[in-house]
Amino acid sequence: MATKLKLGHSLCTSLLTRVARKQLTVRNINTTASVFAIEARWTAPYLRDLAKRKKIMEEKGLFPQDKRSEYIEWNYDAELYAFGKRLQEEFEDEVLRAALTDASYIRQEIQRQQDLGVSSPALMMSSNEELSDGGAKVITDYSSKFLRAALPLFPEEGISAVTEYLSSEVVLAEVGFGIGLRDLILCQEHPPAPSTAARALQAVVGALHASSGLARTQAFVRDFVLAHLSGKDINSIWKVEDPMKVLSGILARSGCGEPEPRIIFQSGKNTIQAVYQVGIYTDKNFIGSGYGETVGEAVEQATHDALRRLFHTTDSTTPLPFGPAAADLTLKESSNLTLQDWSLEKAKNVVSC
Amino acid sequence: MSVAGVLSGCLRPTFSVWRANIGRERLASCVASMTRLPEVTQPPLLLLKHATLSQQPNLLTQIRGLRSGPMGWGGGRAGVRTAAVTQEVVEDSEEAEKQLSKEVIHCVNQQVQTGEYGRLFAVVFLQGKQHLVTTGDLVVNQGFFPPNIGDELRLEKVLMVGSRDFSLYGRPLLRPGLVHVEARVVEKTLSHCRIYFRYQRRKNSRKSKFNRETHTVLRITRVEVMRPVGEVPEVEGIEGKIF
Amino acid sequence: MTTKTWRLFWGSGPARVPLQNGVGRYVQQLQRITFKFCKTHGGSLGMREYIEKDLVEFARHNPGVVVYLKPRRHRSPCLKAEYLNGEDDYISTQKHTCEDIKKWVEYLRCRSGYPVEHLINYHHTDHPSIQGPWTPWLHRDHKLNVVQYPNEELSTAHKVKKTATEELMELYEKQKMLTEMEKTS
Repeated sequence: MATKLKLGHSLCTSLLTRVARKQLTVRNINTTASVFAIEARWTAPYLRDLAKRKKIMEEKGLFPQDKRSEYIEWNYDAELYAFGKRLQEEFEDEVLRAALTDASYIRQEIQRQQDLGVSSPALMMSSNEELSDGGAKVITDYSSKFLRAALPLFPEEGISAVTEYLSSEVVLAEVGFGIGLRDLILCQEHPPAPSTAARALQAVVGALHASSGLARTQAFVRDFVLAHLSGKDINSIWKVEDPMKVLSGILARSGCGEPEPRIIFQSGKNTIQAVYQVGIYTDKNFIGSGYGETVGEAVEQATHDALRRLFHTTDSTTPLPFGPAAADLTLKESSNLTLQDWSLEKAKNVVSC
Repeated sequence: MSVAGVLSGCLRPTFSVWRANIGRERLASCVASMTRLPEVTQPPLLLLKHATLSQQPNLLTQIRGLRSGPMGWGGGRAGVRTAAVTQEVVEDSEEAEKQLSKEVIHCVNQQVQTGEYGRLFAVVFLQGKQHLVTTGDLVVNQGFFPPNIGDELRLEKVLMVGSRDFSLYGRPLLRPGLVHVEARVVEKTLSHCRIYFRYQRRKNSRKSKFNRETHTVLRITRVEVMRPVGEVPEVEGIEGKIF
Repeated sequence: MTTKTWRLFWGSGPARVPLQNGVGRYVQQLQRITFKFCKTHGGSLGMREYIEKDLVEFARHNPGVVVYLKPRRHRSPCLKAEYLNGEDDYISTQKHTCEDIKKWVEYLRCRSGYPVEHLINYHHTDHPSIQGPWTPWLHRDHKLNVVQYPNEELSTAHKVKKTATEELMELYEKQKMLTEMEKTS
């Protein structure tokens, strides 16, 4: 198959561009109904075969993808100008250019010039490594301070886990691609790898810090990176391990009795659809409840619920502040209570924002 | 089944008004449980409202009795009336009821003032349709809608607002300015093409129409209670007006 | 073509917006638009008129959109829009008037870039329940947990209304009471 593919590569490419165009038109809302008419008996098998070949080539990384910057209608200066305007930010041109230049691109350019016979290639370009380091620092620093202020009772372990999630390659790459870096990054590979996009986004944050100051940069991080948390369950990002042990520790430190799980309701016992609702009580006071197919599972869910209620991260707690509400938020430098220290007495002293 | 019948816990055959059945001591305990609420919630971080194991009857257990269906104990078995007819003095419990509602409003207002009500949801009326929204939701408005992308709106027709602990209902709308529901227009687009095809057989008649209506996607950015409940402001209805 | 066929071809999905747009700040999703037209052909007349009259104003009001003009000899005019999420959209404007093109440009400008789909719902939420979801056990009497079945009281028929006998009994009692009161007075 590989040799066949190699031989028929140019033929395949032309056919595949045809099929790609065909699929695009099928997807388009303004297409007339004639597209759907049965052209011939061979149409469907032909398209099916092309799709199969396309899939194989995509798996092997041979499928040609157009580089937007190689089109005739491409003006990098205009693109950079529009980039800043679109995000409602002011960038210094030089810094932004540096932020969007990956080190691999510079290496590639030097190599190219050497191959052409230039003995000492002189490139007036700088890569985004320094900027991305600075940007990454701003992102982690601001994220943790913001989360501490917005979730004052959430343990420090959770804060660091969520911050780590936010500064992970997956999230940063998604944000980077989402603000249009896909076509703007100068790098060796095409399309840009997620790691390249993540680095470029960090560098854009760094460039903004250099251009417009810290306050604007923090607002940028809040609106694009932290907004990623909107609609997500923070408890699924950070899960407490061995919740019952943690809960009894917290209650012991708070001077309360041992957590006591009790079945509140049950249904379908000894059947395949059994369901239990278990409540957790301490000193005969209700602190949380959960459901499960077995009693053990229900107890675990109930314990998680009790912890969520203690940490104020249930479904009914205040949403994270964005927009004008975030401007009033006082950032919190000092770390939150850790799981080891968490107790009701100490939590009472935390000033909620 | 009347409210009073359930609250009193036993059924008395009577010809007098229902109110007579609310025992004074019963109502008093109900009110007391409301006033005890702050005590019960000590320490404030524990949510103890479902204190089912505690000996004290609190408001929630009372209400639970209220809502229990016909299978519940003490409720629903209205048909069995065997006791003899008795006369009793009709007590005027209006004062007690006023006191009770005052207590409830006080509890709500405490949360409003400290901002401890958490996430709110609201039912808003928008272009002929009602939407139940909370912060971060997407609402698609169908049909003609003047606002353009990026515009920020305040949805003023709020029918109800609710939180973890309370729900406020308007009759039909809540007082203007009590709740702020704000939204941002994030997309204006056209719907998929709808085809209306009419065909009459043997009449050589076929008509087709194509329609794509405007869709406006709104992001709800904020739902907030702005002022205490139950207080009538001196001047109202001038929010957002320029004089 | 039935609704089902349309769904098969264009798909259906929930209402969605890329990258939590609007939670923090609003970002216009159109990143570049290309006007392709012919300088001489009659089919591009409206497009040429639009470029002469309205294009500069459009570019001025939308600094975040890169505008490209691409004259091509004797080919039909079209609009090509590219969005931040990597999707693109194409509108044929053959023989369209200037006003039509203005409307299509406005349509492309306000879109988020996701393909047009049959929406399966007009409301999206990540927080479906704030006061807690309903369960069959909500507001159920806890006493029912410790009932021993079969239970005589719970097994009796549930009466909603008073029976005629009971009504008559009540009337009789009432009458008796009234006569007693008359006697005493």
